[in-house]
Amino acid sequence: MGSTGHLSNGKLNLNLLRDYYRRELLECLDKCLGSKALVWDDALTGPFGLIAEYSLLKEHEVEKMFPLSDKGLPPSNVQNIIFVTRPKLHLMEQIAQNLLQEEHKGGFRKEYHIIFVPRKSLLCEKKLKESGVYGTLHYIEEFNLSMIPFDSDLMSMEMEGAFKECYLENDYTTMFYVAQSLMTLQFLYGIIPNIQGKGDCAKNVVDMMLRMRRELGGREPQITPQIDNLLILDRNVDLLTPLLSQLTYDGLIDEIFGINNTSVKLPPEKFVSSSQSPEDAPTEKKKIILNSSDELYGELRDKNFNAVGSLVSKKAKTITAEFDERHAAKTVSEMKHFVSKLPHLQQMRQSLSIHTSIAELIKEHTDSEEFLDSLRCQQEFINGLDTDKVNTYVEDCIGKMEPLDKVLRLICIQSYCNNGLKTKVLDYYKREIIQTYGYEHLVTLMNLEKAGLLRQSGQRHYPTIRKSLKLIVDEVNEQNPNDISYVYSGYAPLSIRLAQYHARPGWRSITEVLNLLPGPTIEEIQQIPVALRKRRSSITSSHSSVMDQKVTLVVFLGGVTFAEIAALRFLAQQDDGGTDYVIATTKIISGSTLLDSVMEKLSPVHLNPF
Amino acid sequence: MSSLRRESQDEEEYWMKSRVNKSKFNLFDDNVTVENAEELAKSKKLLTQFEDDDVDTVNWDDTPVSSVTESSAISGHVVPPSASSLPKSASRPESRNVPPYMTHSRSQSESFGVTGRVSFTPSSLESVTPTVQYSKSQEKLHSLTSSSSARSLEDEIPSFISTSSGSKNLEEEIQYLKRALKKARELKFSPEDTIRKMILGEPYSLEVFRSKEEKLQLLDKAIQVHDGNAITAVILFLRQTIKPSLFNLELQRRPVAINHYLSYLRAHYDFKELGDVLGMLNRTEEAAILKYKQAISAPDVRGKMNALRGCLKAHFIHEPDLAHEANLVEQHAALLERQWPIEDTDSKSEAQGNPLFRQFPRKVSILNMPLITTLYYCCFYHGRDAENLLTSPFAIKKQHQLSDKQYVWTALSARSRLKQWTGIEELLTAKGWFGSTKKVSVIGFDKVCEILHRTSAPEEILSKYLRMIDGSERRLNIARKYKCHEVVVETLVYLRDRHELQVYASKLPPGSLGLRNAQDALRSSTIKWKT
Repeated sequence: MGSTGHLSNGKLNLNLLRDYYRRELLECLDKCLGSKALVWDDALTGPFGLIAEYSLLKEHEVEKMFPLSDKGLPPSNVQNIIFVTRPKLHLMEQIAQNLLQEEHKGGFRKEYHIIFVPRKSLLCEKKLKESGVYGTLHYIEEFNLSMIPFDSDLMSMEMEGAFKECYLENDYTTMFYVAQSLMTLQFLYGIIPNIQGKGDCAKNVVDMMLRMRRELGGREPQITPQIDNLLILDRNVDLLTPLLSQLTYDGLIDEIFGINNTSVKLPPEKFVSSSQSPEDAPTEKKKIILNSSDELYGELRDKNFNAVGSLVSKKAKTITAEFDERHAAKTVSEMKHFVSKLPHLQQMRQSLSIHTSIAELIKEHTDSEEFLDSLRCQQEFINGLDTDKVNTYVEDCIGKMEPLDKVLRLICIQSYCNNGLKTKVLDYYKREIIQTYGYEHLVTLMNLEKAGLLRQSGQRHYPTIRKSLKLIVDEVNEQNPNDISYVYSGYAPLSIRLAQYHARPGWRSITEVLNLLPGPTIEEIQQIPVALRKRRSSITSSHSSVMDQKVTLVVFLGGVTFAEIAALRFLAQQDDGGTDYVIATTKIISGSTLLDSVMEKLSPVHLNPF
Repeated sequence: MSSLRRESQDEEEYWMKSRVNKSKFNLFDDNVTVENAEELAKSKKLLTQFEDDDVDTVNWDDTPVSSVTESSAISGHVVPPSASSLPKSASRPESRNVPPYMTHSRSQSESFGVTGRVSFTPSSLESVTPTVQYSKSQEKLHSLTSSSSARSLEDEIPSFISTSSGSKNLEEEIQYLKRALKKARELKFSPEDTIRKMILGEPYSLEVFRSKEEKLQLLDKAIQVHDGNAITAVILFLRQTIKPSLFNLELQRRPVAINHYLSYLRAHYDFKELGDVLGMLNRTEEAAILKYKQAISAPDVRGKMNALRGCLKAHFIHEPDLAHEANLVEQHAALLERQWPIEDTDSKSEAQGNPLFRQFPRKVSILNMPLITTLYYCCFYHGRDAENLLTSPFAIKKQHQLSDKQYVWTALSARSRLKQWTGIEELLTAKGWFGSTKKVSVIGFDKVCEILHRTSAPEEILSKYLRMIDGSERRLNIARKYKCHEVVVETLVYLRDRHELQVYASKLPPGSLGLRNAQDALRSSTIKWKT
């Protein structure tokens, strides 16, 4: 990660947050004197990469980095070994094992430390004590890294287990982390005056936040609030949206290849001719960083994929035209002007070739029969067509042994749109799935039911919700959208409709719908000293309307999809919206990753090997 | 060590009794070298720390406080669990050098006095004396040693007197601490304060809460602030200190606490207790699934079969809500019971060089495969087996109540891969009226063609079934997809679409049958083309 300029382009300067984390991290590291080796919990390297680079760590005497594994530590002659880990019990076992092995080896005397990210837990410490290594550890630190800034308007905690833990295991630890990081945000950007939310987890978070503020006892930073509203939404308020196939550019990239920590790994074949660096081995997947520092990506990412092709070709034309200017350039000053533009042009051309390749890869996928058929099936379901009986397409998919997550996604959509399935239909599906994919998936199906993704028929809410929130929009303009429904080509994400109504005319107008959705509705106001209140531009009319724009922080508990993010960005760009959005979430998800987290990892799905 | 055995009985008893205060290490062990002892003695701090450490584990451990309350009481109410212990731990660099002496086991401390006496030299004793005041028993040891053999030693060591005064100091200190503790108890930390301290990582003690009401208040407070760490800690404290029946009762009243307790048990693989708690809460479904999960994680198939049968009997059969699941678990067991003997005979037959397995080697064992895969396997290797055999596809279909669609789908794929074209015809033939036959496919002929195409069936077979697809437009599309030129041409002729046929013919390779047919049709004068 070279520059981080893209983080400070938004209404909220998220570089502040990044700097804050960097300071905290270095403080942790500097506590141990002398040379250091870091031992990483695999899941943390990605997020840490976004806040600190290796050269920074090197400046603070980090000489070596190892991954945490059962095999023990490779030999090194550093003075300090620091384990950087999440508070998970299985990781504690590995650390204990490593420490015992080290003790066994003897040799050069080192000091051992642990940094827990984001927080140490009682159970982990207990585990370390039980393993008899607690005394070996010198420092046991906490580094509260949770909300990682991804882009100028986007933060993620990268905790993929959040949904499962909250709705399946009733473990609200992640909600504590959310509350804590919201406190960090308030510390940096001022107290957020208005809080609204929907759902059990949201209630949990708001309660904790208010409690934490009370504990501070007025010792809070005297900053004029930069965020006006906080909107917290539980994922289970809207379980339909993430299950549908996303149709925006980055949504599709995520669905097909998976975006992790703002970067994606792509099959290299497409990039061989275009990539400038020949040393890249073509067998290795090509890693591409996706954020708004890439100008073109910033423009493309939220577009419906159907609009991407024309946009890319238009860009290609302008760039070629600009390159051709050099022939027209006659005078020295003209030449100079051209040369000054050259680096930018070259960069543009490079990113253009990358995105052309990505778009080609996506197109292969979206043109495939499987994709189109499944999309058609989804559209039927959300329009409420034939949702009450066994769907032949789903049946065929099972017959063909298509990937289980695709099948489950369709069934869950059907279940949602039908307000739960009839016992007969549900049992039929269950039976087919279990017989085809293995009896072990009985547990998966039970989990889906427990998480509310799969239900027996209940009260018929969906038609009402669909109608009153105008979820289905028939006339969609994919090229120049006029409504958020463009992100799913005709379906407006329920969660984002809630955000839209939240901004205007307010949730009071949709109380009835809110009552149909699960969980309590929350409304809180945090008092702030008069001196710190934001002055409204009523005093001076010279302020531009931009100053008037309110900033709303939308927090999605349990994950958010790229398509939903795109929809929020679309709302922020509307002239009449009057609201700018900053998005925070526990993890950026897609239907597959959501279901994956709920699935029981008993044994891999055997596709017919015979 | 022989001297130890010679020691008289009452003396040993005396040793036992004399250990008023648990002394953790043992400077007089013969493992202690002079250097070590010196080192230990120099760092007085170290000693205190070890004592601290001990207290630490006592309170944080699962084990009840009862046996060691004495020591924790002495150290007061301060239990540094986390943040506060950090600076201290920083100042014990020596700790790594002396691990054996940190052990708190009683057996070691029992033997120390005697062995120590043998190896003593004045110089080392001198250096050790300062530490003696920390343990009463050691002090007693000295008096004993001196009485028996080393009278002169006592005279030589001037600091000995100071040790006895040290013991007085110690007693005073104990008294003081006892008073302090009493005061602390009277002070009554409110549950709110304690929970707040827990959350902020400050030292706290749960032991000051004596009555059940107070403990429950503590729990309620923890639940109120949603702090998982605190809730779990209080629950574990409750479990140790109140009757199990009461514990269960109070837990049942607090769903949030239950959830935390369950996830604690889950994280510690304490499945027995987990199952018990779920049963107690009447969460039979979860308990059943838990048992099922355990059953299917059994590594060998035989064990898995038994576990499944057992768990079916114990958890599924009697639950009316789980009737459907019970059926599925039953089927799972039945499937394994079928796979087991099949695998047994087939692996033998393969080893003996059965030509079928030589022609199509088995890639993996059939064990633990899904039902449909098993059906496919049986269709593939045992397609013609009689229905009374375990391997018969029909028997599988019957026992597991598979639908015709599932059966046709699987059997068709298997036979297509084996290139048993007549077999496929049998599969798709239904008897009509008066012995007449007709071709029927429950999965639709388009799916049949898809399977045939996937298993690369020859064109004539594919064409045969393509012609059975209803709807000429649909047939045309599918035939185009599979590049079955003959059928495309036929269908276009049938549709009398001359223009399309011309376009299509122009793309066909020269000399192919499709092209010849197309040209014939185009030349033919009997076809009335659409205009």
